[in-house]
Amino acid sequence: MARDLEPLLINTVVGFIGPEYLYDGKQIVRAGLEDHFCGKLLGLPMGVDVCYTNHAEADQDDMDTLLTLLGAAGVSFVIAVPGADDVMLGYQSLSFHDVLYVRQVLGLRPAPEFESWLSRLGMMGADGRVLDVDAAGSPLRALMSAR
Amino acid sequence: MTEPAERPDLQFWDELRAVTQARIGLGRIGDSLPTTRVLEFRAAHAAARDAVHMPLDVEKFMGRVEQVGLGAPSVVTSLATSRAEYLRRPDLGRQPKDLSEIVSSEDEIGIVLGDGLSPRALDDHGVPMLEALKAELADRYSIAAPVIATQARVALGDHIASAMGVRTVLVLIGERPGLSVADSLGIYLTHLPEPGRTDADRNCISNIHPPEGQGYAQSARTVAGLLAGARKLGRSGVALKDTSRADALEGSEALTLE
Repeated sequence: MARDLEPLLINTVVGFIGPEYLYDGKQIVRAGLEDHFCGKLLGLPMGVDVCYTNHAEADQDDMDTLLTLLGAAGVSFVIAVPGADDVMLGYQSLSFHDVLYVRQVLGLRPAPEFESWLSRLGMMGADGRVLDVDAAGSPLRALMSAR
Repeated sequence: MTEPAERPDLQFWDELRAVTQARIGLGRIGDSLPTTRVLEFRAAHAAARDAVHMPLDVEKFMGRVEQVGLGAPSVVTSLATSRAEYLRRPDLGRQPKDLSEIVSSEDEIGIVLGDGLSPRALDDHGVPMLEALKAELADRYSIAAPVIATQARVALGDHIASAMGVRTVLVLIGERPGLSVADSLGIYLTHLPEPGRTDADRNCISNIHPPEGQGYAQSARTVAGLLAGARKLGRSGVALKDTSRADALEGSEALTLE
């Protein structure tokens, strides 16, 4: 179906449903890798939302494990939210910090378009490391007036 | 360490934090979270798991529900025999163990109070929400005595409503606890309820957890609007829309950072 629709991206939200489908961290790690494997076999531009719910037997350590495994297995992208906490849907994913971790440990870089946007906003250095941003002078301040 | 008030960058995040429960402006040590933030996260995770697993104190809750004045509540439990089974088997949570306590009534509206995935949400918000519904609806419709349902999924309400004989059922149920919000209540409205109804036949009002989330009176007004619509339309679900706040998005604009 994904081939017929030619999507820009597709994404598996691996641990989102809960224990009736994937009971614990071990099953979520396994399913995340299986989904990723199938995506690669089909040649899809697929990423993974590395995630779990509070009624599953899993925690952030399992997410660290799955992220590392997926990074090593060449995942196209992962989803991240502030502090790994999706406050609207009530489940945990990865944090922006986790993305920095996997880039550093495995020597990965952002997508080129994203990397140039990050550089333009002064958020990333030439070495790929995140820079300290002066919040007072950041274009992000526009978010305040948009309230 | 510098006090937050003296650091303009921290003040910036404090202002943004005032309008969201999201974990923003957490800071960094190297590329990672500061230890304090990691510990806060783990404490919140533990609290969320407690909200899933701590059972509802049914006896105590019954007394509070009765005081609302909609009649003495009855209690129904699902076929799930434990919390662990409830979590693994949603199908069992949708079927009643025994409906013999349910009294058939001529009332138009039935209200089911289900523990769902957060008994704490029902305990915190179930009674004030019930009071708000009574205030909004009782002068227009006849409301049956409430039913408390444990190890409950939403569709358990279809069986209960069928036994009651009501034309519309409102299931108030604890929503899956998140990390920052472990006590969020949802209301599912089903018109002409009967076993076999699907989620496409229902309307949902979500994220009821004042003061941060949606308030009781506002939610009750939304229920009243949906209820009137369902009775006119002859059904609830995807064909029925809440239009009470259709203008809420007007005047908002997209923002691009370049």
